[in-house]
Amino acid sequence: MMFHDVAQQGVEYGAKQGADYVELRYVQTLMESFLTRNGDIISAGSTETEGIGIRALAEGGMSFVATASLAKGDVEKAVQTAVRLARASRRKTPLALSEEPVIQTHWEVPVETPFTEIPPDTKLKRLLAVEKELTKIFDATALPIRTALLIAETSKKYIATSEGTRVESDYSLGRLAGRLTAKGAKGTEQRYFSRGAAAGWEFFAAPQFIETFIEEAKAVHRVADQAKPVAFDKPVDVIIGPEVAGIIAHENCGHPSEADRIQGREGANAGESFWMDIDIGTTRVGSTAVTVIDDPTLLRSGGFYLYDDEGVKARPRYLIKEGIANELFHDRQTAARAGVHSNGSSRASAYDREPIPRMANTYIAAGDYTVEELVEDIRLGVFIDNFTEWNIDDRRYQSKYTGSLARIIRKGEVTDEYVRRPVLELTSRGLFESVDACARGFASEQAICGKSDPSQGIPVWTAGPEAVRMRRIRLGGVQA
Amino acid sequence: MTKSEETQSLVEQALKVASRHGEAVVRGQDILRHQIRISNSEIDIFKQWRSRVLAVFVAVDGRIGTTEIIDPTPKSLQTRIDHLISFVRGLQPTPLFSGLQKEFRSPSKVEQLYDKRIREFPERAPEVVAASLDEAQKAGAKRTAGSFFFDEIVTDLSTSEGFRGDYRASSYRMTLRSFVDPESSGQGIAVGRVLNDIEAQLSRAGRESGEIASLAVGGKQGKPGTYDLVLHPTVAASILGALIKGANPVQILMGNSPLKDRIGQQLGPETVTIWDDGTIPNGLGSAPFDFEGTPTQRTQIIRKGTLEQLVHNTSSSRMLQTKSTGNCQLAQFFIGSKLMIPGPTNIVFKQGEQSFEELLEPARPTIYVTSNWYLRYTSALEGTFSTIPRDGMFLIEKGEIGQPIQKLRITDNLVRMLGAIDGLGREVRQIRWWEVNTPTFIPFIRIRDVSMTAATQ
Repeated sequence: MMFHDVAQQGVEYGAKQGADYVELRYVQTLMESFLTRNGDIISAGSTETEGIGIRALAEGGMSFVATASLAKGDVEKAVQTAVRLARASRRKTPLALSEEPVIQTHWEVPVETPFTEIPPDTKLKRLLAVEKELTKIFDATALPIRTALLIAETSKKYIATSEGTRVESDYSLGRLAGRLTAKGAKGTEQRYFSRGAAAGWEFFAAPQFIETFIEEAKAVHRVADQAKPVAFDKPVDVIIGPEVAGIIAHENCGHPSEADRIQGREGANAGESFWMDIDIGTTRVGSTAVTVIDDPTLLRSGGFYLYDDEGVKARPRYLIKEGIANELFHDRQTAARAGVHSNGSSRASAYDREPIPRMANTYIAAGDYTVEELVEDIRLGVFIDNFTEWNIDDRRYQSKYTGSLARIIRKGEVTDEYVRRPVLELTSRGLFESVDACARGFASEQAICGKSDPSQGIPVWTAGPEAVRMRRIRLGGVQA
Repeated sequence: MTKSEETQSLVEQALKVASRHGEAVVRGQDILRHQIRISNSEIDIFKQWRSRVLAVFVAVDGRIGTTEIIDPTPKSLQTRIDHLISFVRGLQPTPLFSGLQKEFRSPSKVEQLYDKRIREFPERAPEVVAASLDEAQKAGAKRTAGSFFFDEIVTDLSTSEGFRGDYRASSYRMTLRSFVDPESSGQGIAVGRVLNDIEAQLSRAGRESGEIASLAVGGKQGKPGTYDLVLHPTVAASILGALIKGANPVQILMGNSPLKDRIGQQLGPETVTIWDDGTIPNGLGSAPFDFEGTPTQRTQIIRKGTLEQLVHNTSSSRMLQTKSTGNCQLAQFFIGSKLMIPGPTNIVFKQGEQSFEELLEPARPTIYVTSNWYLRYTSALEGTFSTIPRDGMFLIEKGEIGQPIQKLRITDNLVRMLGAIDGLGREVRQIRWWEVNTPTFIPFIRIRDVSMTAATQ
């Protein structure tokens, strides 16, 4: 029986069991991955998963049941269990879902060459070409550990709800990642990076695939070789590149604006949010130069989708608009509680995970300046291109980003003096309020955003313009 | 045919198909797992996962590959393994594999691995959870959030080298968080395999989370500086456990551990003794044998402060001319497919002699940290890191829990912190939660001169 029929029968069966709402999400995924260390293959795998995630709403309670069997009897049993577990919750305050249009559609990632058309040895050869090029430039002393990863993932999804929504999709995502350890005159440095695109084999076949590793290796080696600790006794102007801007957009704005955190639903896991204490639409959380957008509809993006995992149409979300907290990530459950509509933010990482509010492609919006214009009036500052260590508290207020490739700005010019591990240890408000200008352009980093328990790693882009300027930053965190 | 006979039969069929081409391991698991998630003191969602998963590892002429087959049928496993073999033939030999375990001993005897009462537990679970939330509220919580898992897993393992084994295990883990206000919270954890005292364990977690949250009310911005820290077992497991997970040759090879070339070195005081123990009763990482059929065991990692040994599977032990310690796992490295590497089972810290109150005694600036998350490295090779305390954090004043403080970050080095341990508590707890994924048996621990930083603006 085709999965369409299985899903159809499942939702009909759920309605007969007395559920107020039933949703079946069929997902079939094929993932191939290859990991090398210094040109040796360390791991390779090819895994296909297929199953159905079922949510039921009954007597105000919600349940989730996953089954890998598509046999009619097993699916019916799973639906029956879902309805029973929903009732077992015995909630005092009933849960509900927001009213949304019933959708029947199909969407897909545009792909030139499907991953399935490329044999495994070709994929591995492409990854090994990275090693070949890196070892032309660096000897084993300069770059002693070179780890490279290629992941090709395709999936088919079909969502059917008791309200009549039917959304089918075909998805394809290519991801590369590298972890490099460099040794130089000033010490050892490590660097992790990742890029990705909703695309087919063309993503890996493009020259940028190998160029990314080479550029990253050169940068981390330069840090190991030349970067010196610099103590700034006064606040300085700091310019951050798109990678740092992207992680800040994601961590200091994206996570705090997830409605489930604000409503307390992630309280025991990913935590809550300092946005609990503000008024959406009026509270200023940054300067007028700061606009943060999350847009799942960006073609080829690492967080691409057109309809979410509740069948709601995706659209850009303006999280911060000119410094004002503007919009939250909502799924149908959080939207119902807040008395608004879903903005298509519901995502699940696999068939056996419940859909919850998630980011897609989160970025600080570009401004009108060139990078040169941002730099020209800085007498003394630091340009932080990328970062190593980072973390943030569970209310998403106290953040830390340790720079990796970082250069001194002196008298309006970015110099070749490298700074070792400058630390931005700032509150979310302090950080966004310090921004006074953004450059043009857009560049992205692929990331896997973790949230919830059991953990759901979701592919996202973190992105930003070529440069973002922050005024009067005291670097290094506060230490005694 | 019973469900477990069916799984056994599928494992044998899969092994037959895979071992025609080379060495192979097939592990079948029948999993029935439930979760109750709570927020605002009510159940948000009740979940169930029921699956049969075949994990397959093959090595063909030194080329290795893995796959997982969910809910296999005789036909689908044939197709998937044929695909895996064809996939593996397109690869190149790996230096990380030098053959499976060939010498088999009896599986280890593990006490308190399974409790049959887990089968009826789904019916009771909402009630047991509600009782723990009540405890939290009695202790002062205004609202609670939690995540409670419980499961039953039947494992069958067969290898091309002749190993056959199976076992049944149950487990539960609860993370319960209490809030008095958004910035005053506390956490409690309950973990185990047998249900003898599950109500008491969950109630204790509820009570502790409520008490910490109540004490945290009125928290002030902490003053950055150097302090002695008293770490709750939850925090000690995250920080010191991260270092011990690096006692692993593959982690060292990949540049993920500061323990390279340190075997034989005195890294901590003589009071510090740590081992990996895959046989400890009630341990969430305990099992009779590992992924290639080697019996699990107790492996001394640090004895009286000295790094003594790493954990191994057969391949890694051959690389270093030693023996497998029964730590072979099929694990994810960072993202992507799983690989067969050594990994920790349960990390166990030897208990100390001090009570919690005695750990608070010294007249030096001291902070008590009850929970943390986001441990991230500036350099995993060096062990330089930072992590964020969450939930109640307190100044120690006159040997007692004093002023609640907030918004400080632990910014230090793992190796240095191990060396600076100067107090270990008597009470050892098993910790396993979102931030600590290796079950760790660990007491309250005091560490000297830890750097605490804060945001500059």
